Amino acid sequence: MKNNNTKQFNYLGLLLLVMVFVASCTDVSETLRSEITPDNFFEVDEHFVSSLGDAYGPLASMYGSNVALGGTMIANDDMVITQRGADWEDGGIWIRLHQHENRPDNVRTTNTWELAFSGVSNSNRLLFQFEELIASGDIDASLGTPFIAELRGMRAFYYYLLLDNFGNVPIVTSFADAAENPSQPSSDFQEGRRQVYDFVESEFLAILDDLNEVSGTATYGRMNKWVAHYTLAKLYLNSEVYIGEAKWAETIQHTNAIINSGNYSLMSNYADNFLVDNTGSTENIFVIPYDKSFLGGFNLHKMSFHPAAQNALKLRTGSWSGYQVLTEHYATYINPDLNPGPQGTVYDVDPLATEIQGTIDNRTDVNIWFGPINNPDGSPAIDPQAQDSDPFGTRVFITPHIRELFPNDLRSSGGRVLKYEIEEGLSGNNMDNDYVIQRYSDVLLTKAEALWRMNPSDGEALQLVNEVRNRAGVNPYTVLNDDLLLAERGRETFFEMVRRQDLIRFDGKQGLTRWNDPWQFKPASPSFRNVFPVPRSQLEANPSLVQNPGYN
Amino acid sequence: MTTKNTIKYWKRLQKQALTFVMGVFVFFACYNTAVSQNTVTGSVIDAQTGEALPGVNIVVEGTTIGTSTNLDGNYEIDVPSLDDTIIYTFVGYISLTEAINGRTQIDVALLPDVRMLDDVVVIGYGTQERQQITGSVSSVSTEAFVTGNVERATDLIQGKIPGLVVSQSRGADPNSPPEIRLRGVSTFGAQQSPLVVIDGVIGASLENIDPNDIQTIDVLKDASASAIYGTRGAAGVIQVTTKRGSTGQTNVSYNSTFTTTGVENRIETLSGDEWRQLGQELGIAVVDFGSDTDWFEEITQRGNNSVHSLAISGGSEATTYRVSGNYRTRKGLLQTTGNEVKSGRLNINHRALNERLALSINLSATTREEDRGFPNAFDSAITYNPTAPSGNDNLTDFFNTGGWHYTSTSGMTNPSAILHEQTNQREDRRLNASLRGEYYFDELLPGLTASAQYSYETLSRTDILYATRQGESGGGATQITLGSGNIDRRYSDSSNELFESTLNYVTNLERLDIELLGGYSYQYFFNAFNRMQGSDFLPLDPGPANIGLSQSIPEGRGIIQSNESDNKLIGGFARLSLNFDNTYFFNSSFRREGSTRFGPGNKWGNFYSAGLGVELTNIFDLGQDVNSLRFRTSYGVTGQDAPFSGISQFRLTSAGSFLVDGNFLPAFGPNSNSNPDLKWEESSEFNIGAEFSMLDNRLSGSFEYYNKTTADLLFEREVPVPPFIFPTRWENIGEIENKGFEFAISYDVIRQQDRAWNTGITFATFESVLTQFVDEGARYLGNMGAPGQSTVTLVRVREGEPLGQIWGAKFVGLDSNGRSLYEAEDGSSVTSDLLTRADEQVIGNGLPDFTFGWDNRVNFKNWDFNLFIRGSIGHDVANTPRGFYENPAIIQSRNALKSALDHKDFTSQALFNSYHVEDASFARIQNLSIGYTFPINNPQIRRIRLYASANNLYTLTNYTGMNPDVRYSDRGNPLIIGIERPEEWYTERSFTIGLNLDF
Repeated sequence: MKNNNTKQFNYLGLLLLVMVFVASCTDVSETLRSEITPDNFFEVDEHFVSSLGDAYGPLASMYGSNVALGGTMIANDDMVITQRGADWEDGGIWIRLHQHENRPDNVRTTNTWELAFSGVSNSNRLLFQFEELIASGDIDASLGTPFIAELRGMRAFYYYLLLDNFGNVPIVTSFADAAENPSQPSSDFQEGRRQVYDFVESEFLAILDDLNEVSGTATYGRMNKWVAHYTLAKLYLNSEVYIGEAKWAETIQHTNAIINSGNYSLMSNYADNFLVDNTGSTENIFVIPYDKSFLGGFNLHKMSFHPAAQNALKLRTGSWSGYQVLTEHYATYINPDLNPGPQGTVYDVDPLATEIQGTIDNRTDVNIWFGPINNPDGSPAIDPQAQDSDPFGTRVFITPHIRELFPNDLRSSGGRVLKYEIEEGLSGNNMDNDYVIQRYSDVLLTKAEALWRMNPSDGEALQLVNEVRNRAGVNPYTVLNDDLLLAERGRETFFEMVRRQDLIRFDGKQGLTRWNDPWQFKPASPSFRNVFPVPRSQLEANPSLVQNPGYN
Repeated sequence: MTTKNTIKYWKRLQKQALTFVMGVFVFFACYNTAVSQNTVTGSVIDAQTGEALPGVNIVVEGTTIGTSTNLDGNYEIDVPSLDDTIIYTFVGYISLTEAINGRTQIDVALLPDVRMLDDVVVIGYGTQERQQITGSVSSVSTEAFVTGNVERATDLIQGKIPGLVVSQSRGADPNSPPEIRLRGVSTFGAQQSPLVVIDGVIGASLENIDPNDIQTIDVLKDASASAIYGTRGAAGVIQVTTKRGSTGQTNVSYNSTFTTTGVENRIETLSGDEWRQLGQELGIAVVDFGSDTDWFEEITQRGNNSVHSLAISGGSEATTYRVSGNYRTRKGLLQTTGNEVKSGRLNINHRALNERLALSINLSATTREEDRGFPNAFDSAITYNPTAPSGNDNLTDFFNTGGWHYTSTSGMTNPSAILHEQTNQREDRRLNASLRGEYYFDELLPGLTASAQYSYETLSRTDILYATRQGESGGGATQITLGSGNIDRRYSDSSNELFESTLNYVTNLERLDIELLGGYSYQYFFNAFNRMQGSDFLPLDPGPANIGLSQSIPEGRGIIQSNESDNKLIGGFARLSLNFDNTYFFNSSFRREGSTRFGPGNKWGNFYSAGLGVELTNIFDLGQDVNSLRFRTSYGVTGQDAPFSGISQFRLTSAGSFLVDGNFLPAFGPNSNSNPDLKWEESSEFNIGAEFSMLDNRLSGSFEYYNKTTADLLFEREVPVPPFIFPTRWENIGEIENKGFEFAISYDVIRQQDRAWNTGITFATFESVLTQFVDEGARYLGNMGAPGQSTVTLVRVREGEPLGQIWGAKFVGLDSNGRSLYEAEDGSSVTSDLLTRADEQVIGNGLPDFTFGWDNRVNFKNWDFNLFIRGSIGHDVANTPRGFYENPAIIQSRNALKSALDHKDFTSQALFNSYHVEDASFARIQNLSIGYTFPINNPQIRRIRLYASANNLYTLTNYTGMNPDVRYSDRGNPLIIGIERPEEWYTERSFTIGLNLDF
């Protein structure tokens, strides 16, 4: 009896033993539960289309906020962010940007580099995947070709931004075989910049015929043939800056392609291009289709407005009071010499914003918000935080005048960037308006400039500029010169992130370029400042990179 | 009832009555020798817990006459003469020699031997005699735990184990556990803290165990000891053994404490008057709201904790059990913070089938409800305008901010409003069930044991952030408009299942004892996460519960997210232990383990160890004074798993939206740079040590040296863009070398029955050097941040240099205009605008040269005292609050530290520099306690002890910030060491009274 029992016990033990080995699973393969891998993607056409979106993603981060390109606008002659005590002090990055004393660790230029190259890398990855899929027959070449062209176009567009902002940058065109530490095309800055230029030019020329020709809804917010033509036109317009060779004829050729297509025309009202719903604009060529629900990233209302604007516009979110319009830029609207037109009562540029006679340009109030702010019930807005030295006291009156760059500018100093219609009752950080990167009126001004550069008394050039002026309700120019053309471009393309490009293209009054001339709160700057520095974090991560000349 | 039985009954009753009378007699006249000439009776109890000790050996000195105590701890011994001496000995206790001196009733209390030199040590998958250990293992048991204001298991062993640092770097935050580091900084990966094993459950959470339920904590410090845990042993292992029931009478134990806490040390800021005056003096236009508010006082409160813990244990020969319930509440130093913790635990052990089958069941459950508050209120309390009115009364101008004073200066938020217009709640529910069966094959093959264990642990966590529409931070209110409010509810469920089985075989060949262990381990982890967020509540504030009232969700601006992930670790392991003649010892272990997280070629890793030990007293005659002297040396290799699932794979995730034909489609793109080549991080460690015990075991100690190299460090490094899509990627890069000495020494200064004094010192040195890194380039990390210093970095990491380097400009003085001057590379002095990175230099190191603990335990009659001091010497802390707020120029926008009054001559902008790095060496009275055990001769009550205790009573340091303790990480980054931030929690000083009641 006892023996039997023992045996049973031992069987129990043996069962335990057996469990040890039966249970010995050794499968350690990994299954992802909530993410997608390429193994289960790229199966239907919608997958291809939606994967394309990743090539556009970085654009939305670059333009609509102060994170990247939007932040570097502070270096131009039309915008500034002044320091008010600790507000916007931020380690001096805004002051240094504006005064052209930017350092390689500036987070705004670093972001510009990183985001543009994210766009390049995303495009390379998608190109690699599409090429593989076409090669394996998984997608039809006829479906694949426009995708490939679109991706190459986006990659070239990012390179166009990199060329303009940094000059000599690594050219990476492969995803699978990319070097871990890519170097610039040349350690000589100018030689490297030329190669980046050549790359952008050859890419766009190569894909022109494969890109979608349709404008409107089908390619809204996408790289189509007209975006490519336009980017080429701008590349050629600045060709002298990039490679030391003027290409005016090529500029005209590509602007003509757009003009002659008949796809685009000036809207009768300048402001209509920037409405909350500006999808219907016949003038906008390339936009970022920001959406407060689906595609966030456009936060002008946060960046620009005085805190009192919240109540005035019934916003359900506060504003940071950042972007200001330089007084000198405001003056180019009201000054009859730079902007001849109907005269009326305008605010002067003095601290009290005295009412004087000046030019009435219907872009002034669209682009810039100034003057007294009233609440919706008509009562004057009050800012309890206003400095004692504010001539208007706590009454909020935004003056075109800016008291100082630092350390303690007035809270109500400087007109605020407006341009885009503000949705009443808007909540959150994201606006619904589509941000305009390329617009038909700039096509006209670009063509005009190229004609004028070839022949300063070209009649068509003057006529094209006056077409734009006419829409703004101001008088036609009778003659074109540097100052007039630059001022007109400044008013028309304000806050479209082309100002820096214009300033480094126009001759300055002190031997260098306009960009190097002194302006409000900015001393003269050396010419190496015409490109931004290679970010320090990139130099530290990639030993093959060399810094742009002049920066250390 | 038959007559016979009746007589029997009466006889028994008489006997009982007699016993009773005798008992009363003894009770009232216990020194009366009349009962029996040569018989001594009495009881033996544990001097600290008061529990009866069964099985204590009792011998009459110089004779072979002996007995032992029964289950109730009582004994009776016939002695030749009442002038003899009796010796009481028991494993784990200090033996006691007691002269009879004519007494017939001798009750003694034995003191536990804190050093546990001959005790059993819990190692991976089993236990070993202390002498057999060849790696580095430190143990602390109940008697030596830190007492007083103990919140968590780790508080019990703070400073008690050389090389183990439990840093209070998170101050008195009631809701974040302390940072634990073993033997320096050896990894940057996911697991920087040691692996926790509770009753054999690997990877268990210390949050699911009440300190009152812990019997011992064994720390496996070196790789040879922890290698059997393979992938997760790299940062060491903390083994926790819970209390269990014992056969015999039912024991009820009740412990209760009440603690009151206050801020140990605050940062002084300018008062309203000082601020106005300083502004006038320096010609800075300050904003004067007319009041005088001490914002720190406005947001803090006296905290308190109370703990109730009840445990019942007991059992029969076959089954023992212990069941306990614990209830803790806590009110934090910061207003609106606190928590409530309820936990229960049941341990059952059962033996069956002729003692061949042993079953154990452990169940535990903990719910923890936290009000986490908003520690950024601490930062705001430093900087908020001291002339602003406090409270929310009569401030009708500020209706939209709930009546709290408001200023629109960016980054400036009313500290009180931060706390009172928002809530930050967390609720954790944890459950752990563990079943284990063990079977002894005593007839089939004596010495063979098989075991199987299954455990399941879950954590359900709810995090709710809520901000009212009056709330500025979080809610978005301004003085002139209401905000949108915010509800953010996050739910996560995580669980892990562990199945393990082992075979153990013990045999001996003459003088050689052999133990062989083999086993299999399978662990499956699962996580699920859900989140919903909404804002825009009109027309009212709904409270945190009803997110359906949000308008942003129907408008498409809310957030709804979910994700799931799982992973597995599968391993096989083996160990061989040899013991030759209790003189030579050998241990070796091996584990092969696979992880789902690595790429196909790199899933499996091998981890192994070997160690040798020798007991010299068995080889050489070292004299009577040396009780034991052991040398041991070992080497082992352990690993570190990848930090998260999917890390090696190319993954696509929704990357915003993409407009196609006028409709938005989700765009898909990669969510990170993948790395299919990622592999195990490997730590190899060499350890050599000696242990001794002398002078009748009164003096004992251990000494260790270790050298640990962690290679193929898992690290998220910066990569160039291009060619990468994102600027960082997880890679195996670099190597850290850690080395150090550790020693522990313990001495019984006094060892008598009614008085004892034990003093012990632990000491450890550290050196952590990054011997290899991505490349030779330096990495600058740790942003100083807002206000105004977002481009200033605080730390440099570079190949070949020690870890913990604090980096920045070296302050040399002021120029004639009061502008700060810094040392330039060429030795000249420059102002900040001319300063370049080349001028910056090492200005401190955040890691200590050594840490120490000094413990004193005194028992005198019914009194017990404990004084415990711990400290850390030679580390620096970057005092960033000074770096921001000591400069008087800051008062044009923010309040400054009171020390700004000493710096009126500073005219330049605040810039963090060497002037703000301070030597933070400290010694702290961690614990001072005094207890009294009431002398009770009531058999129903075994012990009543009352005690009072103070924690953080005094800190000796020159550091001027809030807390000199070592900071091992900064905002989660382990490479950034030694930074104190303005939003950190302050430390607390606490006073506790407690009651132990056993019956």
